[in-house]
Amino acid sequence: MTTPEIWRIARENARLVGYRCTSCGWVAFPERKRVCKRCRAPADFEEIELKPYGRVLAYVVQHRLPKGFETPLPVAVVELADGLRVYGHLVECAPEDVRVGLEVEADLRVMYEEEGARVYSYKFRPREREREGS
Amino acid sequence: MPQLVGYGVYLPRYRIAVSEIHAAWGRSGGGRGGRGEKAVVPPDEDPLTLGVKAARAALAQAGVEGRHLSAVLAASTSTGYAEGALAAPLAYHLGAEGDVFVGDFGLSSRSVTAAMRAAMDALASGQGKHAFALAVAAERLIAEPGSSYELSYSGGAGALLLASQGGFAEVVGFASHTSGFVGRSRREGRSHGLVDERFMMQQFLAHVQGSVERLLKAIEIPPEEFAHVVVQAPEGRWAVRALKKLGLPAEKLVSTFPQLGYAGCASLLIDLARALDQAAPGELLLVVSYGPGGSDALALRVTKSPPKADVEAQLQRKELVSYPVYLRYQGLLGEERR
Ligand SMILES: [Zn+2]
Repeated sequence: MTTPEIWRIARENARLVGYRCTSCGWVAFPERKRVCKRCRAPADFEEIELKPYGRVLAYVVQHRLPKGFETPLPVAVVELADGLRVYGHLVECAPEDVRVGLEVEADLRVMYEEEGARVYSYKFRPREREREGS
Repeated sequence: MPQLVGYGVYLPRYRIAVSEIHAAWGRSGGGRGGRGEKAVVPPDEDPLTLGVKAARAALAQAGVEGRHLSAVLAASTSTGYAEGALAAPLAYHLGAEGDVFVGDFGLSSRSVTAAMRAAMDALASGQGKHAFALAVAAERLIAEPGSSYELSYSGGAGALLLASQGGFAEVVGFASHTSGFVGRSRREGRSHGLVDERFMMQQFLAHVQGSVERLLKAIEIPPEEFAHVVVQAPEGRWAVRALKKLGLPAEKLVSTFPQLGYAGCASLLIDLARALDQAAPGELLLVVSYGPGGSDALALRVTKSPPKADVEAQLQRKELVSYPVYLRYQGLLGEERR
């Protein structure tokens, strides 16, 4: 089953589609906006396919989470190459290996299950060249 | 004849040594001899996430965009759904929607070649405004702890992009051998029962021989002309026996079984990718599926130097896990089993 809430942003979520303000370049994701947060005014937005990689800006390691989560779980604010900031789980990365500036790539994963269906979104994992360097 | 224009794989990063499984059960390590490793799929991956990544690799290799697909055919025996499509959401993640023909194949590991055949037939039908068809196979197989299946059942995904022209290899023949023999089977949500493995292997050999002989007769090419052979087999040694039965040297077998174990439908496309990575123009490839109900055999002729998927590099990129971590990743520990 796909609920209305999930279906509304399904396309943006599945294909990492964002919306860029044509006057200042600020990117809205996953929802299309009418008002630009940076221009603080109504703006035109163009659809863009987001580059699926970026850098860790900040992170925390979660130790106490409800059932269904693996702990310790590193969670990061990632700045994608297109300039927008998103929040996501880090996978395939030990908590002690996370650092600010770590290059990560978006990786499609099962987020949770709801009403008998799996819900998918992106998590982040270290880019391959980061591993080669370590 | 349909042509191959791209291929890709996605292999899970995690592996477990077969010796680690034997040690957990206090065995000295018979059967697989305690050698080799198998892939371990983490709990937040499933045939959709694995399949999307293999498909994206195939599309990127060919420089084709998802919206240019006219057909997406998916094969898996482990989606875990009684109802719930794989091919359509997979296509959607790739950017293919609207005028796109999709089909889901499952219930037998052999269905991977049914998906490939459907992709070829979709191209031949001329329906759809785009010229590309994609066949994807993805699995996350879960075996009962302590069973012999646990030594091999793994996961991963492979994808093959086909078109009517402009490829690096062409399909020169396809043949089937179907019978009422079922072999390995299990009820939904249950484990496999105990079977006579020797009898199972004999039936496997007979079915593989059936499809291959029919294929070779139809295309009039003797077996020794094939440079690389891929045989989908739930046990690595079964594939070696199949080559012997076909009168071919074991060196022609291309298999990832020692590194990855058995990934059902996906094994065939992963092994084919490894074979294409090694193949040279002019060479012939023999690809044979097997699963409940029979076997299909395909002959491929490489016409141009194929692009690389670098399966070897993905095989090297790995992290070994312990048996308890493996059980947790399989969803076999705790109350949240799935
Ligand atoms: Zn703006």
